[in-house]
Amino acid sequence: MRKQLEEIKELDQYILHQLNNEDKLVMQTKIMLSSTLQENWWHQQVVHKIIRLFGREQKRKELNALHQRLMSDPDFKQQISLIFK
Amino acid sequence: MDQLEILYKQAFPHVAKMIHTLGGDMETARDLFHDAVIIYLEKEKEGKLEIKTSPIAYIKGIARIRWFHHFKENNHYLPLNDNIHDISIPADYYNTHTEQTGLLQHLKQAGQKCLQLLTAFYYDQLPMREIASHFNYRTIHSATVQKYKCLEKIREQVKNTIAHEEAA
Repeated sequence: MRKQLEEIKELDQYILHQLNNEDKLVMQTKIMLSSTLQENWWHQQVVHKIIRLFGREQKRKELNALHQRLMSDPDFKQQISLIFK
Repeated sequence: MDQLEILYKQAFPHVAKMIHTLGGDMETARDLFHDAVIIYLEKEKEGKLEIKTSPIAYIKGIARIRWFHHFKENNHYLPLNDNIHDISIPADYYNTHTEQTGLLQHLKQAGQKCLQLLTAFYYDQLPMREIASHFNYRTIHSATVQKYKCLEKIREQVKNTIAHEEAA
């Protein structure tokens, strides 16, 4: 992998708490000493938040589709409709 | 029938009854139930489930907290209930910043395939072998390299979007 991707991999391991104590300290020091790395670290954390948002959105779509499918089953639909009658 | 469908069929009627008793309608029950299932699945994947009862009771507990939050958002009185203190809801479930939602909408247009690949790995936690096969990569290694390339691409887009918004 090229150098830039190696940096992304290391930052990822740092963000996801996958580094041992020694490597974690090394990474913390590198981040402190490089404003570029600091910026990349910050943006990579935003990417992880976005992935989580996207994952939830996808799961919600899947659940909505499942709901519609289950409600097309007359027995299940009746069971739910009776609750709100 | 898969596990999610089984869980849905078993748990939704319980949540629906509870929300109806609390004064909610079917659509609210469905939305709160979906929130509860998402939180339950996330905790299960992260190995953070603190289940002392059944999954159904746990999902009901989360839906109940979500109902109170929904109530609070609509400026209603927030009732106290001692039974729900054992269940925690991820803070970012409430604190999703508007700018992140805006970024996501932008990134969906710019890098849908990358977002899907990254979500499969980080959010769904699928094994790399399965991801490689699903996204048509010949080897696990090439799928792994692509994952980092996608992180790089999305990170650049995030950086540029934020810089662009700050300049505007």
